[in-house]
Amino acid sequence: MTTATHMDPLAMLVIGTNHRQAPLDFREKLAFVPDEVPGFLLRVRTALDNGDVFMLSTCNRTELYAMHPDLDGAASRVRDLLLEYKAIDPDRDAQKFYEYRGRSAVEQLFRVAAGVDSQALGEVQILQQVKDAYEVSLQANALGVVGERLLAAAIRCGKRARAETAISAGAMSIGFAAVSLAHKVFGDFSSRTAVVLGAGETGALVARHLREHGIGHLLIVNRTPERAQRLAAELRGEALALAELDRALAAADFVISSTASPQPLIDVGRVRHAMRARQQRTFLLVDIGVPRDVEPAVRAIDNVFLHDVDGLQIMTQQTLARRRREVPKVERIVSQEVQHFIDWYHGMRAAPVIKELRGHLELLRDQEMERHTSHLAPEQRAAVEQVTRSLLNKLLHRPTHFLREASAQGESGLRRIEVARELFGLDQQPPSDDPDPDDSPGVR
Amino acid sequence: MVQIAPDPGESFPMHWAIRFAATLLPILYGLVSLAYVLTFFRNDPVARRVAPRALSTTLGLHVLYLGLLGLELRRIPIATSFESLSALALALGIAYLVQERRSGTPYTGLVFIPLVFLCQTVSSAFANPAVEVSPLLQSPLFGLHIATALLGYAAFAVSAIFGVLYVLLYHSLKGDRFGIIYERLPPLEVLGGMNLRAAGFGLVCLTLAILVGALWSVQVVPRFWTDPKVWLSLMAWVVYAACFVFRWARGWRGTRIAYFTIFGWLLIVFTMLAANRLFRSFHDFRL
Repeated sequence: MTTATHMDPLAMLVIGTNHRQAPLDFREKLAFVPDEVPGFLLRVRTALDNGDVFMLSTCNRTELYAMHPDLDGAASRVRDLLLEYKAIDPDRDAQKFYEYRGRSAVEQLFRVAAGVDSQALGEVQILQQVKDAYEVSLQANALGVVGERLLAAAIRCGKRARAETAISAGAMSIGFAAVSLAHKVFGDFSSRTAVVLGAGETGALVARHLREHGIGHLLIVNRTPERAQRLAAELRGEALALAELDRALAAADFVISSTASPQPLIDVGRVRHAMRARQQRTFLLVDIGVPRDVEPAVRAIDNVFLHDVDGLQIMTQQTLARRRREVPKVERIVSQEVQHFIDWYHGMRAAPVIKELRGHLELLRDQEMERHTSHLAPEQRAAVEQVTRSLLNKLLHRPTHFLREASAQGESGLRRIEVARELFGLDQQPPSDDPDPDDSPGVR
Repeated sequence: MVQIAPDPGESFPMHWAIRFAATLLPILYGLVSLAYVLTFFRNDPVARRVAPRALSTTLGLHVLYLGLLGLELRRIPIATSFESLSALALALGIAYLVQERRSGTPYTGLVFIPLVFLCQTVSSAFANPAVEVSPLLQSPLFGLHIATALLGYAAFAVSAIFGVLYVLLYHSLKGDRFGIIYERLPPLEVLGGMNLRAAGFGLVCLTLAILVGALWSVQVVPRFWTDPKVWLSLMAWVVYAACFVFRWARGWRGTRIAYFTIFGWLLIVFTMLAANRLFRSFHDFRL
């Protein structure tokens, strides 16, 4: 007889949803805020007889990983808990979840960490989110040895994907593309001055990007001074009125503009004037505004670089195309790391089988010794004891070696371990006190 | 190939070591070049890790090679064009490695290291240190003169390479082309800064080389101004000095400076080659 524990190569499952599986309103409903996670993890862990649990909840996905010998039962309990906790109608929304088991569950986590399951292919934030979720699970005491090993391997996989491939290279959003262009022209930002022209939603986003990238001096120019002042106060910048734009252009190394102005605010004359004031130093203008804020003819001036939305879109499309070309390389890394983890897991599984086999045969030996040596003198009994123990060790030598070898051979090895279990009757009750003497390995 | 007549006795192993190093260096520089090509075009992680280490090791061997050659010949091994080429290769390699360490980007190695490979291959193939050289080279001033001149020309070569890279990236940026040039090259201002700093360093070295050379030549070659190479060096000095004057006085920036340094380097190379073919120069130290 075999149980689910022995037949399934990995007693692990994931239940969740992501941007491909469900619309935003469902993902929002299922998302967990950080404070909710530890309590919910403990509930799931308790329901799974202290099995390892780990949750990843971001704006694009909520996934719950769990380890339990009975995967059918565990899947049902995890699903029920999720539905109940988030008050989700099982009849209507059940198909919005996906479920992977065994190797597929490990692959899912590793692919997520490597960024190939993200909406923005190759994004770097997801790896940090996996690390943060790992910390939360650790602090909630929701992970055992296997879970910790799994998460460490997933994080290593994510790091390898980014170090060994260009899956995260380049810019995918217009705002990030604008900032990366400025990096390509100026390098380090710490001694640079940037002007953000327009303090609307896009301008604020770009200004935050610049601050995160360590811009030396940030000037925020806006038609409405109050809005510029608010953003400047938040980002330790300097707010200027639109009337001071010429001063800002002369002082800046680059300008990122995103106003709603119907007419270009920066024309050729203004840039030529600024270039004279700045002694022809390199000047970058990134115009994200539609209609455009910078007159296109500015592009022809020496040492002036002008990029508009079309140019930035070329950049983001090229980035996406390049990242897509990297996916097969990342999948190879994922496959290697998954195999590495599964090999370790199988190695872990061989050890208890060897111990169980030895225990089983020791028990048989003890029973036979009890039955057949009670009439012997102590010296004779000791001699028989020694002979049977030695014989047992010799008999166990080959199966032990076989099991250790099998544990390193992945799926096929696992099947061999299963065969060994059946062969030695490890899933059966110990033999009764009155076995058929012909079947007994004991001493007659 | 470097040929030195084996000297019976103790210098015999050294002779073989020098021949071995002269053969090995082009092979090693070739392999290092390949690693930088793979780094640039395929961003190969193994090549990226191996390339700078292999370059450091090869440069170490190169220093050892020139040291042994100097000991064997009992003079500074930069008396002939082909010997100087090896020293130039070493100077270029070291300049590149320093730049890579400072900037943290290995991609410009694609341009530098094949050039180093070429210089050393030509040097290993054609240098013949067995030729007798002028006793003028015993003067300590000669060592300073030749070292500063070589450093100056190496710096001008570095400047020209950064000038080319600057122009490539400048036009990629102007034309919204975000291909491999955009991806791999260091930031434009970094390239511009290296272009200018290398030219400035070269100018200082060349100034020193000319001054020391003049001081030394007055004693040993009174009619030194009749040598075409002296005039070519002065011309190179004027070109690079003009570059800085224009930058300071006329506000020249970016591509103008880059094109000027590329032009300056081409001028030096072609006029030196022409002078070697057409004129008898006292800068040829063979007897």
